[in-house]
Amino acid sequence: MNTVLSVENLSTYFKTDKGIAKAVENVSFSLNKGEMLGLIGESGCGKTTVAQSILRLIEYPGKVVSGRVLLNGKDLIKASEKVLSSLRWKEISVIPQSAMNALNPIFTIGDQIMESILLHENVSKREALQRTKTLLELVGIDGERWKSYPHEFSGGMKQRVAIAMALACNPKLVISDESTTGLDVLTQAQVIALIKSLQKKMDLSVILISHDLPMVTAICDKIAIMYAGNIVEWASTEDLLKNARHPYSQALLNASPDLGNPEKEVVSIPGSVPNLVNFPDSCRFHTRCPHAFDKCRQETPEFREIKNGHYTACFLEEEGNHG
Amino acid sequence: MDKSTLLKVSNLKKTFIKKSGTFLKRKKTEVYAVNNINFEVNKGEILGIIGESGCGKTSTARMVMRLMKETKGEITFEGVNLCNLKESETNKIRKKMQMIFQDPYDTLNPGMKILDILMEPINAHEKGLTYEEKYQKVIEAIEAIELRPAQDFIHRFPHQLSGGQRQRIAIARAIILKPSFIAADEPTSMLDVSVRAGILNLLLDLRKKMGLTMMFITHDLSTASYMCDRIAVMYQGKIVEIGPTKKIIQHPSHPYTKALVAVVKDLNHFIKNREKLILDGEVDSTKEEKGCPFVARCPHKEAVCHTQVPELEDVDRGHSVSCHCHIELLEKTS
Repeated sequence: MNTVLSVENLSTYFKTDKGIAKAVENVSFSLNKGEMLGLIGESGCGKTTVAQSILRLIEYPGKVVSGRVLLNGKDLIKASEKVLSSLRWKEISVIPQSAMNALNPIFTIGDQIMESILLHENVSKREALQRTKTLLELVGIDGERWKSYPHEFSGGMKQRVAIAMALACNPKLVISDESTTGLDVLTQAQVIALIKSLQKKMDLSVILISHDLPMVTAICDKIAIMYAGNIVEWASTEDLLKNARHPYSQALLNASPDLGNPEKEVVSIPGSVPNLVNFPDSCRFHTRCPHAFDKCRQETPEFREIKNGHYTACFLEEEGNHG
Repeated sequence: MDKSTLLKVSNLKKTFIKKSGTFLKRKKTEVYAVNNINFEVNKGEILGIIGESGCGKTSTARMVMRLMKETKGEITFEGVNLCNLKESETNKIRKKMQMIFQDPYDTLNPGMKILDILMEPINAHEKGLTYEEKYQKVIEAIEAIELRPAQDFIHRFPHQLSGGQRQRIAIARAIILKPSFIAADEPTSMLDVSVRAGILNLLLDLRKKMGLTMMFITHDLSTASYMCDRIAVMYQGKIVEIGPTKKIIQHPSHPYTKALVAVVKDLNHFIKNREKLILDGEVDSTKEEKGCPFVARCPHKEAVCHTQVPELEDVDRGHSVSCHCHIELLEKTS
């Protein structure tokens, strides 16, 4: 198997004054070479925490309490800081959430991209500059603009610079953390188009974190849906659209209007996301689920495969009385 | 003016002054936020205004609501020209037109209880009422926005409510005086998908029950298509296309609308045909262009687009487009 990343039973907790917040619990998924996985969920559901746990960026009061993150067979959770810094950028890199804040305003973008190349690879400054120019051209910016400062670029272009930066050391895996949120619809589509074309060209594996379901369903091969710290469903995009099994996934699909189908009535999900501090053993969706029964309130459903490559965590599947 | 027209905006213009340079070499440039727009809103309809950030959607709404003074133009509401009114007269009109703002976290005073927040508009506009009557109105408004039982909510502070509930309170505040017109400025863009649908359905429901007329501002075409009877597409301070929702979605005629519809309808198609739909380009809103505002990003531009500003022309009953090339474009695509 050409699995690039495999996350097994990852749990990340945060210590708070009121108790332990289980921000991410028992999250498992994997990613093959050249695959694009969409990680979707509402704000506060733990998408970014998953990304940070994979990259080992969780700091006190947060902690990865259990689980393994295997990047090409190496466990990142147990890796030392030295091993990690050799892997970051070269094997795994991030396109951050808002490029406006991710770029340092007092250095030219060329300096910032070169910095990571010089740090991780044994090349001369001239060579690094040459590569920086090529990278900028790759994302559709004139290579000679390496001398510009971030404020001289528009939002969409800054995002492109951030993408160029993430690709600086030819990583195998790129995590894009809501990298298009806050951009205009058309600019967003252009940035997404760029990520997609680069992914194909460089055979990258990409984790696309987003809350925009229509966008993710359009371009990702597989989708994992998160709710309140759990992945509730993980399947190929086609499977998920045709045959969503978890009540939350179904509700989410019904919640946004569809341009192609103007007759569709959008339905909201009643209630709100539960507080994750000291959350009791139960299905995390039971407070808002229309099908919830006693077992859902007492036990945590297991995340398991119900069909080839289609995973979900719901008691309805076990009972066999779905629908 | 037609009898069914509630709001008419004609030749509305807003420029802001941008200052640059040092103290002695101060340069002032004009930024055209809203540039000569015309539209009407009929009684009982929802007009959607869509466009990217900075295109003048919010400025338009703020001018209509008299929160901002226009540079030029006329706004007629129920036959009265709002632009020439005195402050005291404007205040009377405000009872009939209300606004829902974008961010429910910013627009509710954190130091006030829900009851006080909702009493505020009544105290300002219906001074003669007794406390009991006012209280009754608050309860009715909270029940109208489907927060039940209302008594549970009136003594809470905004921070004790979720985002969706806050936005509902903001809506309650807007409808409590039974206005005839509401401007909703991106009311769902700060909310999660799962609660967004609830707010949209609530607004549609209120329109039916109260006979509201609405101006609905959004940047999301699919939300607009769900909510609105007609859509106006804005770009760089201008309305580039306006018409019934169905026509805009099925037969977009302006290249900008075409690109927008393509993105939302089928992102994969957009990715494959990106160059044919839109070009990468920078827009400078500081100078009043001689040509079409979209020319920098338009893949179909011709010589005339650089030199002449296109006018909004009617192409099909009620469907107007401002583009020099739309007729050829329509033929090419159909």
